[in-house]
Amino acid sequence: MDVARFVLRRVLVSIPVLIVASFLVFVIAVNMGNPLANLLLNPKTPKSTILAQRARLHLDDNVFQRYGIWISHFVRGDFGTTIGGSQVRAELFQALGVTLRMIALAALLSVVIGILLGVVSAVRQYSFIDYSTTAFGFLFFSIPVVWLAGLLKIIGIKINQAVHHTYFFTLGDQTPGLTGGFFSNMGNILGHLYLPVITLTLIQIASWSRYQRASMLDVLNSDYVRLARAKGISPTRVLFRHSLRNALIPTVTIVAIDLAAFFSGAIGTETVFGWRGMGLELVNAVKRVDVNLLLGWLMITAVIVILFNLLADIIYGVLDPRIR
Amino acid sequence: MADLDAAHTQAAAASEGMAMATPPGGPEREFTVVAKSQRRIVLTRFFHHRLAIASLIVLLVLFFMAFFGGHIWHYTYKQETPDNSVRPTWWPYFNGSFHWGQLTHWKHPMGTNELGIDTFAQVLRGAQKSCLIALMTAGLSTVIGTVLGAVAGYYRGWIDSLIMRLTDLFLVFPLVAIAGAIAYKFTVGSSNGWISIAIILALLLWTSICRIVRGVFLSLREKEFVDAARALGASDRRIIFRHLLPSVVGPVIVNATLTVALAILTETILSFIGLGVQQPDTSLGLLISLGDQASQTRPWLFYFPGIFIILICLTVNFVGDGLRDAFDPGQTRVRA
Repeated sequence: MDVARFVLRRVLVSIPVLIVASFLVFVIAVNMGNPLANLLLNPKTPKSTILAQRARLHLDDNVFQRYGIWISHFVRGDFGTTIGGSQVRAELFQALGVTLRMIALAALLSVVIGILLGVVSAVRQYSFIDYSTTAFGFLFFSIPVVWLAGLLKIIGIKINQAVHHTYFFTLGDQTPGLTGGFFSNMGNILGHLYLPVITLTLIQIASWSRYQRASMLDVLNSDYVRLARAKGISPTRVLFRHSLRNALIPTVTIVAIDLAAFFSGAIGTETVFGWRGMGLELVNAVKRVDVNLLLGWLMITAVIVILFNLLADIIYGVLDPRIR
Repeated sequence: MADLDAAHTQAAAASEGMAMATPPGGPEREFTVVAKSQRRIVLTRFFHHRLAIASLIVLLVLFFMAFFGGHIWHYTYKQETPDNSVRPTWWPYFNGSFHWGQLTHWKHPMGTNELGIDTFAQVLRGAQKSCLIALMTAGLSTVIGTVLGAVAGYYRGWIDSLIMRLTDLFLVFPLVAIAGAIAYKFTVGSSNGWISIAIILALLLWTSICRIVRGVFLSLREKEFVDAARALGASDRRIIFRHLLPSVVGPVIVNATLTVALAILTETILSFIGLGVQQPDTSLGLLISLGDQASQTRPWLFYFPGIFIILICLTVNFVGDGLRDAFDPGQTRVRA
């Protein structure tokens, strides 16, 4: 009951954020440029066509009217059509499926490895593993994600050439023209996933292991952990029950907040490996001044990020009953 | 907070003790007490941090190369030389044609591209643009964040809620996506595209500094010394500038350094996907993108711009770390 009320309150708080975000996104999208620029470049375009297009895209209405039209369709699940005429929703969800493969796997790996490394280097402070984690963190904190992706691509191709077998696919999210479902093509899809996932994971571990180390050190040096040890509780129990549980709380927040950053990294990584995911959709939307596509793109990522922050709040509540 | 109070009391006691120990015209002392200013203490601590100092020197060299190297180097970033697709002269390749004499041959230390443009000249020019963007972004976002954070923390109330909701809002969107969507219009076909990129990044990156400044202001405004200043008739402006802002200088400078690295990395992704700096101008991100397309035939075009970025970001992060330790040594010290 208590938890349900807490969750409901968090959901209600995030609704206004989403509404304001949608308006902000709309203002950005309609100011991207003139969607009819290509049409106007051709001097032979008849005036009637231009007027018809202006009317179709509601270019003559003011921004509030246009926002009203768009949002009323959007909340009913109608994302509109792209400049090319295809359905924005179908296109974006297809791209999202491709991108989420990369992001979900990389996020999972980064959380597990990052927390593990952070905890170990806090427990064994100033040991070899602590210093190497720190050095690793500093290095990968300073590497541009697209450069790391390109480097891994070069290494992957070298390995493929050396063993005369394509273990690492470096172009695309799967081999084009594959038939059959996800599971029959799993091997092929995984082959395309390795390098992008390794890229994102290496970059993300760098910062998450630092956060985990810092929060774990804080907890390990606190009075209640010392008390627990003094009472003679077994070291394992002190580590997991008393320390880790509390040290996870700041990390949960950081992980949820960094999800938006994950999308930024994924956009770059996808471009390096030529994936047809959200990164390509974004670049197309901006370059073609495709208002509906950009709106859909930003709203989908915003909803995902808000949902994950909600999830983080709930995990928070589970880990720390005081917050409820 | 308790530590801070204790420190205040101790300092007060010490100064009282000192006043008693040295009555005017008293006996000659064997030692002199020199008051150390806060700035002096911080600088001394920073200069004892070897890694940070070494990084600072490397960073200054890199900045010098970025801002003045283009004028000194004998090729420009647009100049097409007859030597097209030349490897770096000292590139270690193992096809039998390597000989030591090549090591002294510094005509194209980073090779050339397919048009014969010198890569070193391009990297210098790209670094100039990337550094300009990063420094301007860090400067602007620090000013915006400090002002808004100070206002939010000092005045509280509705303006605080408004600013804080605004920072929440900025967390919702992927930085690259929103920056690219706004920036592309200004960068395409413009020679001053980098300024727009810097302004847009600054408008998106001020939130972390704002939160930090607000946090410090919220806790300090309840302190006795602020009450005392107000009782003496100090205006809000005087309290903010004379009494509160000096306390946030440390965290703000540290955060500004980290913003430099973040801005360079963001610019790299932005230019790589084609929404940032556009040709014919160049930046390190754009160079990586061009190098990536040729990474199977002319890998040196890909490696060098990236190594330059890593060097900048690595040294900036080390300097930031040294500054953090210098301003707040307690933060990294662990209680026994």
